[in-house]
Amino acid sequence: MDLFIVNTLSGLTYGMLLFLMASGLSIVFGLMRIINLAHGSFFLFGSYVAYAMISRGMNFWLALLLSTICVTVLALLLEKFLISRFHGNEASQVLLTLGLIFVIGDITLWIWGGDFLSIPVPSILDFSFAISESSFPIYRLFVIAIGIICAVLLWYFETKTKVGMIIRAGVDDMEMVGALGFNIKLIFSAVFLFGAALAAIGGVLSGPILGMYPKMEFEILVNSLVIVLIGGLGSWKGAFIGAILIGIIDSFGKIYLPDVSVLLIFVVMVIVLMFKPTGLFGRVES
Amino acid sequence: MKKTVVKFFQILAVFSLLFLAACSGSAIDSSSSSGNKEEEGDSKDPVKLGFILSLTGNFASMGTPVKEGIELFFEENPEIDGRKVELIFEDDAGDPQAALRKYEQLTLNQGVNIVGGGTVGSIALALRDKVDADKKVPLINVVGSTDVMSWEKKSDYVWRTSFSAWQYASISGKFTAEGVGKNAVIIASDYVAGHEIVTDFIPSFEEGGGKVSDIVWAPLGTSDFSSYLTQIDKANPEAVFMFIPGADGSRFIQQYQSFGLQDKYTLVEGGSLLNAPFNIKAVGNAVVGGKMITNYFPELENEVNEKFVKAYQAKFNKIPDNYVVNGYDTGKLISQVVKEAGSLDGEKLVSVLKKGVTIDSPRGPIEMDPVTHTLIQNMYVIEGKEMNGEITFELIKTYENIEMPKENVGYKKY
Repeated sequence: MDLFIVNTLSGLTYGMLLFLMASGLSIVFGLMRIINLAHGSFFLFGSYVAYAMISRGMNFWLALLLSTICVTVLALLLEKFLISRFHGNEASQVLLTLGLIFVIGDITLWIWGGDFLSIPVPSILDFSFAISESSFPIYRLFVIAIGIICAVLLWYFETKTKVGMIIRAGVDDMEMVGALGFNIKLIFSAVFLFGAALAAIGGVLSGPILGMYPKMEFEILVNSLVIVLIGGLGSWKGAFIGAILIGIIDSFGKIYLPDVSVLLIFVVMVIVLMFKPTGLFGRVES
Repeated sequence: MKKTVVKFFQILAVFSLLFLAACSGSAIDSSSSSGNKEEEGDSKDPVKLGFILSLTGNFASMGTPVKEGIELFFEENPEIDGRKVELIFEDDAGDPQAALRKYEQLTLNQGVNIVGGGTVGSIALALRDKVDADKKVPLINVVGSTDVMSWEKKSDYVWRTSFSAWQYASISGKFTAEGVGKNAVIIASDYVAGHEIVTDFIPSFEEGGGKVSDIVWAPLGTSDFSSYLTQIDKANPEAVFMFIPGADGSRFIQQYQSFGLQDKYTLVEGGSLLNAPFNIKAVGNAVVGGKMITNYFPELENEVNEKFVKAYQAKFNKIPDNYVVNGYDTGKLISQVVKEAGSLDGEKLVSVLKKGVTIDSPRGPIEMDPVTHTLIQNMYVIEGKEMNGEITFELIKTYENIEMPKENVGYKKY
């Protein structure tokens, strides 16, 4: 029984990290029709920046805040000067953001080197609690909590606020929203930055769990893309459910089907897409 | 008409320049200059040494320190027996095919006398086949640890200055049974070297009365080990034997600590990871209490090592790891062999190696075994300790002069 609980919690932890990454990816796609492959780089860059600050003695929470701001600024520059030039041209966007992965990856390699690095767990959360005979680190519970809080905030934001309403309308028909007098460019930028900030938070939080090293962005990006596909393009709710699903499957797959555990998430993706080609929460394009 | 011809020549000139630049650019020449100029009149040919290492890509963390070790040795000893030493380093980026191309380049174009290389097993084996077919220049294998290089795949022209999987794993098994506990769980990376280590570990562990209650195979690139950790916890062993190289291993050690297993089960590590500087930097006190089997560690007390560590720190401003020593000893072995052979002829060099060569290494005295072509060397068991916030390693046991079995022992494969 305790094995079951510990694995469920582990799966949820991994799932929540992926959710923070995938929700931004999904929302940005839903609104802007941009497949921002460089989203994984935001995740990794966030954790590297936080590492740089924390290893110089800065407090974890302050570093979390500052590195999120750093990544947001980076995202702002990329959006303003590069990505916004290619609206509506999907092939160029994919190539551009794919190129950005390599550029940002090489910059991090240049600054922080190729070694495996990790962020120490903040001391206030650095203990484990016992589940009968097993123990579980409290930090991971904290990550689950943050993931759920983010999901609740997203829900509130989307359904109860005016900005959320505009964005929902924008997903349906961006041109119409523009015609009603809203500043589309501003909305695009804001959503893009918000997604980047979520990825950065995910990156920093994953620092003490997954650590960081060059090429990690690809690992996390592939899983996130799977989640976006399972959940449905443009839906953060889909990303939430998809992330939990992938996290749990990954965690239990390693134990019960170790030989195929690497394949398992793709099998799930194929099955979901067979029955719901638009993903769990995706809309059918009219 | 004239103009087009001129233009054509201009283009041709640019192309040939580019071509030349591409050819010479790929070789990083760092010929060491000998101190005194009087040597120039000497009739002895210089020694040309070519090294094919993984200096970029996934395995750069192993190839680069080997290069540093070689450079350090030949900076200290710029001449062998009155011959100038010329070093040529080539990068294979972890790709066996690239390594073979570089080998052709080094032997045909550059005319090197001895080749060093084989940062990973696959490259070592690819080079081995080529060198064995050519029978021209000896190959010194710097890292590749696969056992068959000492047995079926042995070649007169191939010699290993690193270690074999068997040396690490059989001592790990022996020590775990003797010094830690009789009940162990194994967790290893699911790739060739991982399977080889487990294959060699189990018989020697069982011989000491041990019993393996579970084997966990983690795919390369595993980021979250929590499922495996609960599996280990469920088996409730006395010892956990791990072989997970690289970044995966660091993550495993860290999560092993955060799930509270560090205090419950003794970690035995068989991949020279615990004391790797990059690992300590990443995981800190998670290595405390962990035991590691290794053929070298920087705190080792002997005169050669003290000098070596000081010289390395002065040149590179960091602590040497096992791979630096592999490189350093490769230099030492080559210089000894050339000296004894008094010639650069491949056959003569090999005949010296076949007689058995002993050198003073930072890892203690080592001897090249003429039968298995692998070093006979001490294996050390060290334990991670924390003192005043600093991580150090303490020697807890030495297994002296570990020799490869002369022929394939035919263990059951895992």
